[in-house]
Amino acid sequence: MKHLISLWEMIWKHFRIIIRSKITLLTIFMGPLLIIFIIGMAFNNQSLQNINIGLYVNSGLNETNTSIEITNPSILKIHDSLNESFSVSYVTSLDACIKGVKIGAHHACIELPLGLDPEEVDADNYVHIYSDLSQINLAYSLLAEVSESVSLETKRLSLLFTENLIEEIRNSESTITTGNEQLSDVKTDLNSLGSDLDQARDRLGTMSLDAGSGFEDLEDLPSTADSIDSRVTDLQSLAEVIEDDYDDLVRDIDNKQDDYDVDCENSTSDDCDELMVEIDTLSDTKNLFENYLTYTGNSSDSLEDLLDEIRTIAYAASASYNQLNTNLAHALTIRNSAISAIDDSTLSIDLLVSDVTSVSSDFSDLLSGYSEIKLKDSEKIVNPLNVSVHTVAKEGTFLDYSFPLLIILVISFLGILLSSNVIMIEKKSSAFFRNYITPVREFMFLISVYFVMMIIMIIDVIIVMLAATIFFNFSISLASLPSLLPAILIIATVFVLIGMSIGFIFKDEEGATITSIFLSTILFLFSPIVIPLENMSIILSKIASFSPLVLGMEVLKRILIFDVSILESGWAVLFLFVYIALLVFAIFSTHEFHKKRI
Amino acid sequence: MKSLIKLEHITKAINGVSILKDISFDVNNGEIFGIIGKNGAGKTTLLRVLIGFYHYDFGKYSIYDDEKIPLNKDFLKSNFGFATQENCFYDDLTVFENIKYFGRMYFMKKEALLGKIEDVLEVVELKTQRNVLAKNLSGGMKRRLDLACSLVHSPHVLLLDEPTAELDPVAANHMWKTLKNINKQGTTIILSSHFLNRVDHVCDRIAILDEGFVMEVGTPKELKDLYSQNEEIVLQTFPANYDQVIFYLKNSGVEITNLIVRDKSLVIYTKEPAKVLQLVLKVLNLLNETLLELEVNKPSLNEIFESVTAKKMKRKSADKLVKYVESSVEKFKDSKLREKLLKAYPKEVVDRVLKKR
Repeated sequence: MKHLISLWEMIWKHFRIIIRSKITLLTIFMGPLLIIFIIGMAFNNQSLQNINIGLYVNSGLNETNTSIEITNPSILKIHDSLNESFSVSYVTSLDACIKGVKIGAHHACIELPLGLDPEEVDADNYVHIYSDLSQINLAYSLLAEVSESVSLETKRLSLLFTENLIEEIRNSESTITTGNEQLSDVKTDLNSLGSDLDQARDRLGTMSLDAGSGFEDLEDLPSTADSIDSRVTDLQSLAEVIEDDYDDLVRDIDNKQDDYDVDCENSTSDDCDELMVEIDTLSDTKNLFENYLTYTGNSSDSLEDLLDEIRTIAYAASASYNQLNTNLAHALTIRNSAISAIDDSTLSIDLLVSDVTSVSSDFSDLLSGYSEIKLKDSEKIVNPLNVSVHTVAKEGTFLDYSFPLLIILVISFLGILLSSNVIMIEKKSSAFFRNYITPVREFMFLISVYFVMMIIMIIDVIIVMLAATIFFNFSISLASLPSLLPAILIIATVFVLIGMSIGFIFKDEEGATITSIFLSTILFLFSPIVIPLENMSIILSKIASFSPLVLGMEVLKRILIFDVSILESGWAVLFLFVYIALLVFAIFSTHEFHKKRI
Repeated sequence: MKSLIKLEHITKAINGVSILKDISFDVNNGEIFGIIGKNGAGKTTLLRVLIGFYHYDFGKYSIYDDEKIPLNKDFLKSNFGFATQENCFYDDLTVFENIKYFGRMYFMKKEALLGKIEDVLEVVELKTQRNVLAKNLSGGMKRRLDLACSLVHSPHVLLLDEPTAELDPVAANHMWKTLKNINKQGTTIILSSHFLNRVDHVCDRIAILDEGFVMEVGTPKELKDLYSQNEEIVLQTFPANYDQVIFYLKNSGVEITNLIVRDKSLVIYTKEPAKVLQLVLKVLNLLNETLLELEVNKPSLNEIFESVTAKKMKRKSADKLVKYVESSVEKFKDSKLREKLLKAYPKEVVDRVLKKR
């Protein structure tokens, strides 16, 4: 308890001494406030400001811009695009443009060819950008923004050209599709034609142009007709006989009828019946004879007519047969000729079909190839990969992103410089010896300095955070506080111990101050603040990654910007603890060494 | 008087340089013990050994002549006070704040501390300056503040290193008076100084230190009787044209052993003090010198000091040291301990010891 009281007394003593020095007090507490205000006002934005771009249009001749009237639409578009973000001015010559970059009049110089014409095959379409890469942190941001402005026009033109191409391809596709369909129809028709021709050929082949047999008897036909005529005559004679018989029959019938009429008029007997039946039968026979006679009469007439016709026909047929033979012979010739022609046509058709098939196949291949092209959107062709940059952290201003840096700078510079200064003041103080001859343990004095420094650091960090929160809308999530507070304590401890070590090592204030500044500068330079570590050589980059400033920045960045717990920065925190252990050892060693020099 | 502190053959080297060589003396309870010596004699180192800031390399250091009392640093720091030569306090704290701070460093409770601060301020006569920043105090006040810081915890032993250094005579006188008052309250005082005339008057006993050796220890009278038959006449005059005074005195025919001007005073060593005194008064009158101060001491500590630090005395003391080292070496059979012992002593002594062996 008594040690705690004496510790409190020591801490309060340090504060009294600090407070008594108005300038020190002002620097310690107003310094960070000033820093946050200056940096806040400077960086509380999200874009590059006040950038001057020099634009030189190269005509290829020894003409200056002033004598050239710039009407090239691409150049004008690029100029307008750049003018939205930067202050663009035309420069008269390339040398003047580059010199402007060197002397700081321009941040970058862009050279465009006067004949910039993306559609012209022979045009020089190179856009040259001259930039000062010695402004490392600015150069790449600037180049990115300038390139983006220039590439907007490039992109627009690419889109346009690609769209044209795609449109042509689309048109070609539909034409090819239509053509392919037509070809298919043609092929079908040709095949059909071929098939028809085959059929026709087959038919022609099967066509019998042989008049056949049996017509040779056609000449015998008149003689046959004469034979038939004689037979008809015989039939006629027979018919006359029959007619005579008929007449006899009729007379019989009439006689029988008369008999019946006489005998059977008033009686019915079997003889009458039989007589009737007989009469009927004779009547039927008579009818048959009549029919037959009529028929034969007609028939014989007809037959004679027919025979005449037959003779006529025969004669005609014979003539026709002869003519037919002649025609058939001619037809055969023609048929053969036709078959031959058909064969030729068939062959041609086959070739045509083959060609059509080939063309159709090509068209199909084209269509197939076209359909296999998955990317048909011009926008996607020009930009196959849509690059979208997302911030891992929440959106914010440059101040938000540089806040961990700000904190670490306050902690590091204050920790190293003030701690070494406090130790020096204590060492140089005439009371230093008296502290040694009191019963208070010597390490308590070291602890008191540590606590004083930590209190000052925490107050400064709070001042910075409050100022940032109130005036620049900086926000810290409450969830990150359990990680943030221990992180700040650990980081601050490292730098305080570094400062205390320096204070004990050096005998004089000048040496301690110079070393503190020098060490702070080294830590500052070998950190991502000025140049990314990745720009250094591998070995140095590896070494620098273990710098307490780099480790501290990483831890704070993860907590403040990425809302990551301190536990997830395990390695960095572990190394900081290692630093703490080493520094504590160093302090006690140098303290003992210093004590011997009193 | 009971012996409070006993030092036996204390030896201390710093950075390989032997500072204290065979320091042996004791300090009685309640006395004012003076340690005198030239600059670089080892006075400050001896005091720092006494306070426990330095640990001696060899020898024995005991309190109350009782080895059972653990003579650790805490005991020394808690019971000893130390007023340094360089004014050890914080310039940017007030008188009150400084005393309070150091009182806290001695784990004093608040109420007791506040009361003690008032007492101490009264003793050192800084009550009216309690709220003045230390850096704004005069030289004399600063020394008193330093004294106050070393008194706040009511130490049993108060060590003072050159308590009147850089003080004007008035302030110095004031300081000596204060110390006497403190001593009267029971505090044992051990002080170092090269202001031999003052030490002579204030201290009960004196140790003469020269090049790390204690040449002699004794009361001022004992030392004077041991080393000098002269009386010392110390006078201060105005306008202090001592050259003329010396001229007259030297040519006066009176037996004068030595005439020196020291600290704006004229010091006359003579075996005939009465005669010289009469002559001095006449000469002063003749030369229109106004007598400001006159003291007659028998003998002067300065003279004793000068005698003691003569080479032959050093040789005598060195012989004693060699004898002691020899006897000490005989006691230790272990070679490492012997080596450690020999390291604690000056090379010339060790060479002599080894040569004899």
